[in-house]
Order: sequence, then structure tokens, then C-alpha cells
Amino acid sequence: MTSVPAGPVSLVATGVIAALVGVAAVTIGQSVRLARRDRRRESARDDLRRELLTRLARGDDADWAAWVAGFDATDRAVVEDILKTFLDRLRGPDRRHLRDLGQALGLGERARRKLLEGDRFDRLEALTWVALLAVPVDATTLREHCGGDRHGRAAAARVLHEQGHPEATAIGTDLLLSSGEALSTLGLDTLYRLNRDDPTTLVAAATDHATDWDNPLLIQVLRVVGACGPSDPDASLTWIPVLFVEDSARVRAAAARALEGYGWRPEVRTAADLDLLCDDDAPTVRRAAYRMLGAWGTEDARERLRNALADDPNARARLVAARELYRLSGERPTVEEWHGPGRPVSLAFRWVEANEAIRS
Amino acid sequence: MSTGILIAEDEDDIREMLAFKFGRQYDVTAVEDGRACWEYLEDHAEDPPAVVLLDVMMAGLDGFRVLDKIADDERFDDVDVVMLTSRGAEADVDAALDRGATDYVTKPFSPDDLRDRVDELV
Repeated sequence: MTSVPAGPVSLVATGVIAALVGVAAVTIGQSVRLARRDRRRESARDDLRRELLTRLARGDDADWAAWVAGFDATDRAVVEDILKTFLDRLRGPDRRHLRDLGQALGLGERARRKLLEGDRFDRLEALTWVALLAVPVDATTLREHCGGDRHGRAAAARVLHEQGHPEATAIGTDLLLSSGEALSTLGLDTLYRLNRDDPTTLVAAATDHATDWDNPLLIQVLRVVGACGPSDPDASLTWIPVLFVEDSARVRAAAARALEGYGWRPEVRTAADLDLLCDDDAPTVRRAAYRMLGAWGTEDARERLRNALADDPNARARLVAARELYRLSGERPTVEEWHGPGRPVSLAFRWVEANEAIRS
Repeated sequence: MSTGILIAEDEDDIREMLAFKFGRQYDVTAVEDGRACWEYLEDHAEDPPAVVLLDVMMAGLDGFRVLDKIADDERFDDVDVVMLTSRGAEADVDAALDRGATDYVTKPFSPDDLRDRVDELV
């Protein structure tokens, strides 16, 4: 057995303990400083809020500049916080006066500066103020400075939308889809808002780039297209049928739902390879196909739904077929007579009936 | 019945803003959650407020549960309830009106519009 000299060991131990004590001291000091700061802000908050509301009630005579001129750092931080809450929750004439307060505090200029020079978190904070204060900001700046990550892109696109930029849909959609990366929740919601009234831009982008996108983004775009429902008869369909043979069942199902969003017209009927969709190995794809057939409601669609109800091996898929037939009205007796009471078909209809009763 | 207004809103800044706005015109009481709102109503059942502004989303007893209690208690038959709901929560609006709310306001809201609506009720 070898013995370790006591000197170096105790030296190392002393060093470690000293480091731990140092870290603890810094942590405690920081905590005390932050707690004091929070207490100062809390005690100032009621007075500042009351004064803010009093001045807000004066409308154009609020004289924000004179008020904020006397602010220290605590006052400024508290008023910024209250202002953010009010701008986020309130509409109407007060909002304009609150924006004047934001400008008096220099928040618009600070946001512009941070947008150009700040790091990722500064930019997101800046975009929040840009949106709340309706600070004019050009699309080129947003594209150049917020295109680096998906959260920045989503926030920039949202700002364009909220500010009613004349090219918000084109620029915002391009910004969101530019990296091929899956969208954040805000990004997905923004893509929908940008395109819900007229998804022509999104459909055009999908037609050109769908094959370049990874599945997560492709599925998100398919869902948005399905939700927006391209009603333009000239809206491109060519990008969808090729997705019916994709390896991913989620892509195939999303493609079927997107096609459903196009509504019924001869071109859609031609694009939908119903034999392929209704015979797909994945129940999720067949369910999507049955929903589309239910939306169409043609005699051919009803016949395929009846066949699905009788033959589909998946219980949930049969339920979807039953529900679609039920919603097309009058189908229950026909099918029950066809298959006889007590058969799985009847059970499916009873479930659908009960479910519809609850929903209504 | 008084012409008072009871405000139940858990967000401090919004609650104080509403209290300030309505306080210039009415006798206002502002509380921070549903439980305090119901306790106030029970304590003032003899002379309840004319209008309750009730936020849907509150910790503990939420706005719907308070609304149910008000609707089920005949002492508050003359109390009008205006619900404050969030944008995009249309189901909340339907549920509130079904349960007996008189009116609703969707956040973000205009305090002036809200005051106009309350003026109609008081």
C-alpha cells in the first residue's frame, strides 16, 4: 500500500473548501441584492401604478415626459413592467396613451437598438416591445437580424402580422419556412394566421419546396394548409398526391387531411387516389381518408364508407367511417339492416350516436 | 341593492386598473381570487353589489365556480355578472352565458367599452 503525503492533500482540500465558501458567499450576496431590489420595486409599485393611472385618465395631457424625467432605476423598471402588462391586456384609446409612455421611456429606441446589436434574448425582448409599442420596423431588418433561430423567425413574422405589414404574408411565410426546420408553437400559429384568409402563398411555397423539407415541417405545413382550406380553384394540388407514397404514415395522413381542406371539386377527386388511401396499411391514413370521404358526401364516398365499416380491420377506423356515415344522415338503419343487429357495425353506430348526443 | 361593483381578478395590475377606472364612478371592491369574491358576496348578501366583474381564470375557486354559486343562490338573483375571458376561448363565452352570466368581455379589452357595458347594467 502506498501512502499519500498529507501536505498536498490538505492543500487541495483547503482549496476546495475555500472555493465552495466563495461560491456560497457570492450566491448569498446575489440573493440578498436581488431580494432587496424586489422589495424596493414592490414598495414603489402601488404609488407608481396609481400615478400612471391618474395620468392615463388625463389622456393627451398625461405629460409622460415630465413624469419619467424624475425616475430612478427602480421606478423605471417597475413602470416598464406595469406598462408591459397593460399593453398586453388592454385595447382602446388607453393603448395609444400607454404607447406614448413607452416612447417617453425610450423603449422604442432601445428595442430598435437591441434588435440590431443584441444577442438572441435581447432580440426576442426587443421584438416584444416592437409589437407592443407598434414601433415601425422594416422587413429587411427583421429578416437580417432575426433569421438565425426559429424563435426569432417566429417572433419577427408575428410582428409583421400584428403590425399589418402589407407584405406580411409573403415575407413572414418565407421567413418561417426558410430554414426547413420545424416551427415553434408561436411559429406554427403565426403561419396559420398569416395564411388563413388566403393560403395561396403557403401552397405555392409547398409546391416548390415540400420535397426539400424534413417531415416535421412538412407535416406542420400540411396541417396548416388543411386548416386554411385553399378555396381558389387554381390552387396547386400537385405537391400532395406524391406524399401518399411517403414512408412516414404521419406524412401520408397529414397529406390526406390537407387534401380534404381543398374541398370537393373534380381536380381534388382526381388527385385523391382513394384506392391507395383506403387500403393504406396505417389506420391513421385510412381514418384521414374516411374523414375526407365524409366531407365529400358523394354516393361513391358513401359506398366506400360502407365498405370501410364492414371490412376495415381497425376499430377506430370503423368508428370514423360510422361517424361520417351518421353525419351524412339516415345511414344507420340501412347499414344495420345490411349487417344485422349486434354486429360490430351496430356497436360502432351506437357509440357514434351516444357520442353525438353528448356533443349536442 | 347597492350600485356597487365587485371585481374579482387575480392579476394585480389589471385589478387595480379596473378598481381605479370604476372607482371614479362607483363604490368598488376588488378582490384577488374566487374564494374572496364568494366570501364578500356572502358577507354582503343583504345588500349585494349590482355588478360582479369576474375573471374566468383564477387560482382556487375559478370564475365559473363562483358564477355557479351566484346563479344557484336566489339572494343574488338581481346581481349581474360580467365575465372576463381570454381571446380564443369562445367555449368559455358560451359556458359563461349558459351558466347565467349577463355579459362577457374578451381580453385584451378596452376599459372604456367595459365601463360602457357596466353603465348599462347598473
